[in-house]
Amino acid sequence: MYKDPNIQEELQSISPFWQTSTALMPYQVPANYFEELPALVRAGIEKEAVYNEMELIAPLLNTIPKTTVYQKPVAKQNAPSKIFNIAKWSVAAAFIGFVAAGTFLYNSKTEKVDYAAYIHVDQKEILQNISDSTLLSYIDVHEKLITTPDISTPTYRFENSESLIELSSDQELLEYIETSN
Amino acid sequence: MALHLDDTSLLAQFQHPSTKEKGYTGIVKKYQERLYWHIRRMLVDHEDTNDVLQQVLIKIWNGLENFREDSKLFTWMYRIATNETLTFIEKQKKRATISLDQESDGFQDKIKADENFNASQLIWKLQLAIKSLPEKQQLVFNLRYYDEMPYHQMSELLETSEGALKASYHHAAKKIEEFIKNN
Repeated sequence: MYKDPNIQEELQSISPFWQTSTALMPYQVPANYFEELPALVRAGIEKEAVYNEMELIAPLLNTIPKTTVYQKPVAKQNAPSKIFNIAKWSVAAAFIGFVAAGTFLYNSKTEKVDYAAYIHVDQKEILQNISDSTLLSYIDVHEKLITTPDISTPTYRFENSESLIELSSDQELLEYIETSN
Repeated sequence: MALHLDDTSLLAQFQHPSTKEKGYTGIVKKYQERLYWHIRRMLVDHEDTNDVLQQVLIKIWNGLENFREDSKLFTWMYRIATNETLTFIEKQKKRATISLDQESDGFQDKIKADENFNASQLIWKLQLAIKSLPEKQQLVFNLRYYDEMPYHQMSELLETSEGALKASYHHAAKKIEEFIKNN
């Protein structure tokens, strides 16, 4: 394009104010904008060609938005958390194991009894060391238990069914026969 | 700076089916920056400029087959860019009227919103002053001041007499001077 060389002279003839002016633009342009613009325009031309073609074939379709109705599955987002789940379960298992081991060790420690000490107890010596009054008070408290017959021990024994019949009265036998019929 | 073929060679490439795209790309690469700044001076915002420029270049592609060399290629392209820009401004004005935004046409606000804006710098004051002019006067001033376009070419582009353009330019320069002195 031909440029007029008399621009500055003309401006100064209008006003001396323009003597110091410079025709610079202060606006910025994004980097590589002019390198990329021809490709953008080509894409725009193709888009318009597709639109015009559809206008001739089926104009109704040009009124429908081209946005997709489908959505990407959300499960893909959970994929990385598999590692996290394994780690979580590992920590839980380790904690349970630690608690179980701790409990076992604690219990086994408390249940440790010195049986040997009991075996070698000298009962006569213990009795000699107990005072008479202590022994008497013990007897007083446990007298009933000592004097009461042992109820777990039967007073009689049945050798067999014949001996049981022998021990039963006729009346009892008759009642038994009646009830069993 | 990239070397470009002359307009006649580029048009000849465009007319041939096998070199059509090459010829078009050559035209785009040769004139895109000048067209960009022609639009940007009017619209201020880069995104708006980009939208309008792409529309302009698509229109050029569609109209280039019927282009007759009774006018210069660049003048013809400038005319498309000017019309598209003025149409865009009109649409913006209508939208602003609907939203009852009667304070301004918004261009001065856009200038002030620029990240590099500096109210004390003369270069920015000049932009504010240009945007205070009516659109046609802005066009005349920009074409003459920034593009250094001869009046006869401007006359062809804007379909206005050279005398009227000179008067318009004179008025614009005076108004801008006054604006800068008072702000």
